[in-house]
Formats: sequence, C-alpha cells, structure tokens
Amino acid sequence: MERISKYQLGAMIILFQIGSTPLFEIGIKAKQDAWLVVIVSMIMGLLLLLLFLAIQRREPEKNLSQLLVHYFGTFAGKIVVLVYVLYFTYEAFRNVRDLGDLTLMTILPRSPISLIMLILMSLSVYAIYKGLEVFFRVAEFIVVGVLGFYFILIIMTFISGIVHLDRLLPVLENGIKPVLQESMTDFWFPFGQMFTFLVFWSYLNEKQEMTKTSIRSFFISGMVILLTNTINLVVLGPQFTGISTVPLLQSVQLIQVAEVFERFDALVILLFYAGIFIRSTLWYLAAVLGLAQLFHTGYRRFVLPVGVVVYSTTFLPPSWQSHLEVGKLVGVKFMMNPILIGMIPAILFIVMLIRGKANK
Amino acid sequence: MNKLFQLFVRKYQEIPQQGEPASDKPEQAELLSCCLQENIDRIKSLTGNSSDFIVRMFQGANGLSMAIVYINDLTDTAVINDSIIKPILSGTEADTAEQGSLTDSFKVTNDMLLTVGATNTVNKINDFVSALYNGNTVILAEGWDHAISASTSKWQMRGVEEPSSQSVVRGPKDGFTENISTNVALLRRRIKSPNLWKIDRKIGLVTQTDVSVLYLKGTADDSVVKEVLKRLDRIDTDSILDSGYIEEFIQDQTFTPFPTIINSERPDSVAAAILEGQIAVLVDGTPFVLVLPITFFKFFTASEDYYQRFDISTFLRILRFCAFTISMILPSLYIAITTFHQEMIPSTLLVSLAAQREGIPFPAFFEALLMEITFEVLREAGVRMPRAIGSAISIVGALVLGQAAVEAGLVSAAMVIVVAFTAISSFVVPMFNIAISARLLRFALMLLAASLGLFGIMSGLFFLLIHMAALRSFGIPYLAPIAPFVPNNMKDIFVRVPWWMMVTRPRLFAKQNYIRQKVNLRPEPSDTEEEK
Repeated sequence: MERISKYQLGAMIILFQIGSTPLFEIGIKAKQDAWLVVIVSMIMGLLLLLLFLAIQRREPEKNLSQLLVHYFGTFAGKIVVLVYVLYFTYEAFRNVRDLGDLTLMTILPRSPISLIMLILMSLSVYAIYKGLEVFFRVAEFIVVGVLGFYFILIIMTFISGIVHLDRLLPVLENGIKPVLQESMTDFWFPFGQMFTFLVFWSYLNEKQEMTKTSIRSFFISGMVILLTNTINLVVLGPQFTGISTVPLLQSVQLIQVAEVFERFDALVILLFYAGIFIRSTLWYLAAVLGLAQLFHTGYRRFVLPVGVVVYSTTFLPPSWQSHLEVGKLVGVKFMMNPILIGMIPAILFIVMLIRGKANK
Repeated sequence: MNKLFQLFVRKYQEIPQQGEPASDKPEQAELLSCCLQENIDRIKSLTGNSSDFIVRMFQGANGLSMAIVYINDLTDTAVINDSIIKPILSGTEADTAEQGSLTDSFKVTNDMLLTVGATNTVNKINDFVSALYNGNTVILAEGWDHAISASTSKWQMRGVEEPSSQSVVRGPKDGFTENISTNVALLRRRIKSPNLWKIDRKIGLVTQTDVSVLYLKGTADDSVVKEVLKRLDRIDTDSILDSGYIEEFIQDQTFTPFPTIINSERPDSVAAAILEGQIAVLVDGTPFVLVLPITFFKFFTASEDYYQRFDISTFLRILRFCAFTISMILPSLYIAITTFHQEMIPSTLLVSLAAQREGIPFPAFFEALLMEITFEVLREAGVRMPRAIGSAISIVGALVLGQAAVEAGLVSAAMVIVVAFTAISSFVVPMFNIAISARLLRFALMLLAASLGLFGIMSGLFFLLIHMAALRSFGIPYLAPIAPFVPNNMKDIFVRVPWWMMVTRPRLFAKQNYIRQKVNLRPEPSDTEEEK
C-alpha cells in the first residue's frame, strides 16, 4: 500500500488550502472587515477540522469510503460514497475551469481554453497514473517555492509603498454581525474543504503526527490567505476590491521596486497555476479513489473515465460569470457545502460514538 | 511506449541464434588430452593459427618434452624467459623427481621451478584460451592432462593521469585509467579497510570483459548490492566496451531524459561515494566508473566541495543549481517573455529589445532555434574535430556565426547573449550527463514557450517534476531528500556544512552503520592558548 509522510501531508494541506483561494476575496461583503471574516472563518474551519480529525482518530486505518460503508451500512454507505465522488468530481471541474478562464483573461488571451484545460487535465492524469505517493512528492517539492513566492510578494508590496493601512479603518463599522454572517457562508471555502483529507489521512505512515501536522499546516495556509486578503484591502481599498475580478492580480500589478521588479502578475498566474493544479488533482484523485473503493479494484482504471467526465463538464458554463453563478447556486442555494461537509460528517461522528459505545 | 518497444524486441528474438558463441560452446568445453601435440594442434586450429600465438617447444631438464604457449603482445617476455623457461630448462630440483611419475613432474614444475607470482591449473580448453587472453603463459607437457597457467601479463597502457572530464583546483589529481586493476588499486589505496568488498563478473560472450562491484560491507545496503548483481547477471550480450553499455542494461528506466547512474573518472569521488554506502561498478577498458544508487542532487556535487571551505562550497552549490536551471529554461523564458508577456520587461529594456528585433525576419522561436542548433553543431564539431584545426573552429564560431549573424540582421544581439549564457551555464554542472539532459529538454521547453508562453514552460516543468518524482534509482526516489523529505540529509544538498557537523552518513544509501564520526569535533582554541 502506498504511504505518505507527515511532511508530504503538511505540504499537501498547505498547497490545497492556498490553491486558488487568493483568486477570490473572501468576505468582501463585510467591506474593510473582510480580513476579520477570514480570521473568524479560520476559527470555524478549525472546529470542523477538529471534527474530521476526531473521526479519523477513532479509525486511523479507514478512509472516507470505508468509514461510510462501515458505519452507515453497505447500501446507504455506498450511496453516500457515490454522492461524495460526484462532489469531488464537481470540485475538480470547478478548479479546472477556474484555471482555464483565469489564464484566458490574463496571460494568454488568444489561446483556446480547451487546450489550456486539456494540458492541466493531462498533467493531472499523468500524476494520478504515477500514483498517490508520487503526487504527494510533487507537492512536497514545490511547497517551499510557493510559500517563498507568496512571502516575496507580500514583502514587495510593503517595500514599494503602496500599502495604506488606514483603508482598514473603521474597524467593525457596522458591528460584529455582518462579519459573523459572512463567515457563516464563507468558511466552507476553503477552510471547510479540509474534509477531503478524510480520504488521505489513512495513508499517513506516522499516525501520531496526524493532528499536529494537519493543524500546523492549516494555520500556515490560513496565514497566507489572511495576508493576501489583507493586502488587497490595504492596496486597492474595499470598494475597488469588491468590483475587481481577481483583486490580487491588480494589487500585484501596482508593485514597482527599483524600476526593475515590476509587473509580477504573470508570475502570480503561475502561482495560481501551481495551486490549482494541486487542488484539482487532489479532488480528482479523491473521486478516483472513492470509485475504486466502491468497486473494490485498483484506482488506476478509473483515472481516464473520471478525467473525461471532468474535462467535458468544464465546457458546460458559457462564461466565467455563469461559472461563478453556478458555484454560488450549488454552494449556497442547494446547501451542498453545509450538507456534505458539515452535516454528514457530524452524523457519521455521532454514529461512530454510539456504535463505539455499543461495541464496548 | 514500452509495449511498442517490447514488440520490437520480440521480433528480433524470434530469429534463431546463430554465429560464433553458440556453435563454439560444445567444442570449448572439452578437456585437455594427454598428448602434447594434440593439445597444441587444437589450440592452433581454434585460434585460426593467429600469428601472435607463440608456441615454444623444448625438452625440460627432467627430459620431459614440454611446451609453453602465450600471446606475444599481452605478456612480459623477460618474465617468461627468466622465470619460466630458464628454471625449467636448468632446474636442479627437477633431478630428484626425474624418475618420478607424471603427477610428480607436474607438482615439481608448479611448486619448485616456476618463479612467477601466481599460477593456476587449467584442464579445459576454454579456460586455457581465456588464460592466454588474460596475458598468462600456459605450460604443457607430454602426458599431462592439465596445464599450468602462470601470470605473466604486461601490456602497454596509459598511466594514471589527471582526469580530463572532471578537473579540480584543489584536491587529488589522479584519475582512473583503462585498466581495471589499476582502478581497483586506486580505490584500495584510499579505503584501507577489510570491509571494502569486491565481487567480480565476466560479462560479454566475445569480449569477456571484467566487471567488478565494489562496496563497503556493513555500510552499503546489502539488498541493493544483491539487486546490482542480479541485474549484472541478467546481461547476456556479446560485447561490453565501456561502462555505458552496462549502464543502459542495468538502469531503472530507459525512457527518461535523466540519468539514474552517475559515472566518474575521479577515484576520490568514487571513494567518497563508497564510504557513504553507494556501490561502484568498475568495467575493464574504460576510466569511467559507475556509481549507484544516486539521487538527482548528487549530480550537483563536485568532489572539490569537500576540500574547499564550506562557505564557498555552499555558494558554488547554489550557483550550480541556478546554472542548471538557466541552461534548461533561459532560451524558452526569453521566447515566452518577448512573445507573450512583454509587460514584464522594464520599459527601457523593452524599447532597446524592440529596436534590436526590428529588422529580424524570424519570430523569436525560430531565432532561438537557429542559434541553439548552431551552437550544438559548434559544440559537436569542437569535440570531434582533429585537435589541429581547433582554433579555426573557434574563430568561425565566435566571430563569423556570432558577430556576423547579428550584423547581417539574422538574429538579435540579445539572442546571442541568451544562447551564449545558456551554453556557458550548461558547463557549470560537474557531471556531464545531467547537463546533456538539460540540453535536450531545452528544445522541448522552447517549443512549449513558443506556443503557450509562461504557461507552457510551467506545464513542461510540472510534467518533468511528476516524472522525476516517480523516478527511482535502485529503489531510491530520485528527488530524495527533498521529496520525500529527509531532514537528516539536508546538511549536504544545498548547503555543505563544515565537516565536523557531518556526524552521520546520509540515510538514503547507508542502511546500517550511520555514524561517521564523533559528535563534538568542533575545533576550538584550547584553554592554554587563550591564556597566552
């Protein structure tokens, strides 16, 4: 069986959480208090993470599908697994489409979106085909580079003197309520999505390091998200950030140091590329693993079918705007995130508690 | 791809084996006969009466008719004259055995008369022949059904010289030679330990090339040694002329641009590798010794790193990584930025670049391809041409192709700088064979950059990264100790810490006996010195 180390798990959590998150300004509806929304969401996400970890710690050798089948019974369990496979596939599709549109909007306006997404998909297929262990090694290799680059970007914004801290004022203009309200809808993405690691924690070779590594990496990625979020606010101001499509790109464009270091936006796209590649591949891998466990076979035979599904669905939304709209519709209206990430794990945990006691 | 390859191979396996090795086998396995003349006739017919086979027949001092057989150019005639012929002809001790049986005469000749170092008894025709090819002299006598092979080998060979492919400023200047025993001696001189074990194989049906596996018993991973021997024993070919043959037969993966085995001409770096638990494979006839298993980062280690101060070594290491990256991606980066992302260039530079490119008829990609191919041709010419016309090539290369091409408006001056810098960078890496893979990958990345800009380069690099993460060298992940991360091994990858800090061996290769030295070896002025 393939095994991953604690460093690989940590690297993957960091990259997965950062992923494409800096593309979006979390909690911008709370205006200049968006950074507070990030902090509150992080804390709420942490609570969810503790729930997931608690589930995993009770059954360290079982992954998500095995847990569901074991505790919900074969029939109900398998249906829930199938739902999760669909959910993972859906999230993979969202990320692939995100990258396609982002690249098209910014660095390659005249290239066909199908080609860009095809390249991303082929990389994912190749990585998954090479195996889970190899994919986690890739994450381990690039994590320092990605973190370092975000660090340089943040330093550069401060050096080039475009930071206006007064744009964060007044703090809590409308009281704490809008912040909490925003956090309630925003903490699912990306903090709640730590849920995915229920599929991967069981592969860890040092189980006693699981909690510590996961929480640490969660905080590192949370800090990066918080910093990029705040940078947008202090550089662009809440109003402009609110209407901008990709605010971080606009903030970065303003960086100018010593008349040589300027226009980092193409490099930021590459950073997003790295993040989205890791993120979409991990969703994709989770879907493939789920299917494999459903049919009790090796996971490599599901790589291509799932890939074809993901790739073909990316063409469904006619534009990025509608793509974002669909995202909101599914996430908020259909309550996908609260049900799949919040309620089902909670039910699972309760069932585990009851069955655990009954067994004793 | 592998399946296609297998089809290709299978096609050739169906052809029935024919030719020398198969048909010779039954005859060669025959034993020597008692009749002296018959043996000599068989050897003569087997070697086609080759003129360098010398057969000298004479009457021994004990009255036995004897013969010695040797190959003229592989033996030391002085030794044959003084230590074989002379004692046999004049042997006084032999008188005592004069009346003795044939076995006695054999024993006496072997034990009392011959004054050469090593002797051996052969009783098969093919052992006889291979003894001859190793430079031995074989002694036959009427009535013996076996023969004595005495080691008399000597042939002209290159002395130990400074290695031409890996030179250092500070450090030992000796290099391996074409002779395997000299090479083993060079290593034994450095590691005077009974734990330096040597296992021999003869590979190649026709060439019968000596291959030796050297490793430090108790430090090297025994399972890797076993695996190496298994892969060596699998080789069934007719000839091995260089360690490159062996490398292609035993490496983990064929379809990869990255080498998974290092070759080295330097005894000191091979000795260092053996001391860290790696395994050396020496092949007779080549100064290039294979070292395995390895990781990607080993290619950026020069033996001099350990002889110079640690701070400059660290700096040079990082420089080498940068140079390798540059040699791989600089032309593609230039293409991508000038074609797709002009906004990234500072305005003044952009204006100057635009002015240079104004009269150039080609897109940046073709311009770069033209220059890169020109450079590759020049480089190949530089390696293959006769030494005497070297200066002509450099004049043609530097002046005609560089300057004139710019003046004629074929390429921009900036492109010449990019290509030249790329070329220089590719020579920084201490191991030549990883520089070659960068050379090939450069063209693929250039194509990606021309079609998709930075996105293309990044996709190419991701592809390479996944590929390298999946690659293994004899079970060791290629990107270790970065991925998988081994914190203990980081002391000698990007930085080279001072020697007194390297308490343990790298855990990757050595599976036992981790401790290299004592812990508190940090040099400090002693108390007495402070008082003064």
